[in-house]
Amino acid sequence: MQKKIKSLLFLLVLSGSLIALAACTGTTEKTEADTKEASAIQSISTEDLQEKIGHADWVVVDTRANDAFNGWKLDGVDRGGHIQGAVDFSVNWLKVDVEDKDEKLQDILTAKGITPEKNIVLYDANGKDAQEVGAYFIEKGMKNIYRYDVKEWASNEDLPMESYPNYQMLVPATWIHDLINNENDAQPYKIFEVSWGEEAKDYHKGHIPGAVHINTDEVEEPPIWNRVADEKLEAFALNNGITTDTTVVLYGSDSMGAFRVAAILKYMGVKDVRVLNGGFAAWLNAGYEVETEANTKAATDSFGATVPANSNYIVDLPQAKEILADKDGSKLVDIRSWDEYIGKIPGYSDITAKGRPAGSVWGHAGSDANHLEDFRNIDNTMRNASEIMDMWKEWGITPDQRLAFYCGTGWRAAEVLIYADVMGFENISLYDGGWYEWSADPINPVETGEPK
Amino acid sequence: MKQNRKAGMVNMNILFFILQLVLITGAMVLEDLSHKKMGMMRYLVFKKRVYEETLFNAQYMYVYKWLFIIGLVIGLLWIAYTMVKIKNGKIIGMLLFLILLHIIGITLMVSPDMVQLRAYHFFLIAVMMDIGIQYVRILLRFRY
Repeated sequence: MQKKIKSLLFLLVLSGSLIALAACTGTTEKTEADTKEASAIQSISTEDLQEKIGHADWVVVDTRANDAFNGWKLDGVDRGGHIQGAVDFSVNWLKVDVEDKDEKLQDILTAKGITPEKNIVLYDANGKDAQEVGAYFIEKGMKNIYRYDVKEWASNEDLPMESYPNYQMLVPATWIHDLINNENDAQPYKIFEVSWGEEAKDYHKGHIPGAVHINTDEVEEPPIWNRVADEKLEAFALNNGITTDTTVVLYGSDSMGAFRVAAILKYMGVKDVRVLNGGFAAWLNAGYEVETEANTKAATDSFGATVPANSNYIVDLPQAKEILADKDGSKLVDIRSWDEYIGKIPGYSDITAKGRPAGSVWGHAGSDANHLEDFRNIDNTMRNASEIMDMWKEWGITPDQRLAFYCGTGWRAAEVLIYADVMGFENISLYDGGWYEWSADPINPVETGEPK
Repeated sequence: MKQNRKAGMVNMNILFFILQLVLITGAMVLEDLSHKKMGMMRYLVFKKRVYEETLFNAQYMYVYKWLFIIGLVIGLLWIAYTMVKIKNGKIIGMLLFLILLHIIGITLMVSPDMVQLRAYHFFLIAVMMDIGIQYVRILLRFRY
């Protein structure tokens, strides 16, 4: 019996030792990998970086949240925006949960010229983002990786940084969080979750504290889902407690509805309209509190201006025709998928006509009527403005022209309109009726097929 | 042989009944989805407009209303005749269902609340088809 107990004890001690040994080896391996990654990423001085920018075999990558790239001063930097000539590859893109993520990220790397044969400078402001992105790049076979702290660059006013002219229109979650905490320095503000339907399923699942639901049917109506009449828009603003001086923050699980309402509010004359960059997911990923109790609308009795105070922001059929007639100075820009543009499909279950207004140019969009992949990053934030401009250059869409964006019913085009506004385009508008209105009247000339 | 035919007819009767339920359920599902999916709501709004200009314009609606009323009267006379002369419980049940369908059809036509339904015309189509199927079921019952 004693012999048996001794054998059992011996076995227990032996297996315990083996487990401990395996655990130690694992830890050592992990630490070694970390050290290897860290040693593979060298640091680079400001002077060296200055010298390397613009070289064909060097690529500078901003790894921070896109809002920082756009212009927001985040993580204690002295100046917002990105190093002139840098491309973006946000650490947040590694964290999203999408189908074929690796394939999509690989396409992004190729499109941005981030390839293994290049020297890659990754910069951040918190000492973490570049490390994480660097680890991913090493995994993808990239070798010559450097790390840089953008705070150093930003603190020197002589070094060039770029921000989008109206980057403030797209806000990061942290900005909304601060707005709530400091109550917008006693200035009026409202936060709205925008989605279709009275049921507001997304809203009831959880929303930003204090947010109120806006049903998109409050601002548009059948048969072609144009914005409602100006008097009704004013009533909508009063019902939601919005005046021209209210800071209005809009967001949604999918941001398209928020952009649609943002465009309409700007048309009405609200001076400070913001949209959460990346939608509600950006708020959730930031780890901020979520409220489930519904908030009621708090009405007001005066809007503060005659609606519309900014009438040029949304145009209708006669102006769309004017724009098409002015071939040199204006463009009617189609924000629908290529198949919709060439007339292969109508794109909507409630539109039967196929084609495009004759003379309109393709401004890119996405895979279908509900997607805008060409304008969004993988985390649904706004895509790099230079890439959007490059896309448009091919179709002769430039900032010096009068541009009117349209889609089927004004959702996709509204999002692109706001992006163009963020990018500093001045003479821009939304053609609200879009293809639905244009195709409804056989008098309006229509084209199909690839443009000649 | 005759028994086999009878069994076949019973199966067909069940199949027809299931088809009737599917038609009504289909319209109900469309109505429900139209409150949940924007795409469905817009599709139904579009179809409503199209139907109001074509198959269900004011003139046709007037005709349909009278057809429902006439159908209801026929159903009532038929059931009275069956109760007095034939006294077949199964046929009486089928005729009662036929009358019910006509009442639903008339209600759909005259009630302003029903007209507000997004899948309104799909409900009308379903009821009309159900009535047609019900006539076939009754005739089959008479035959066997």
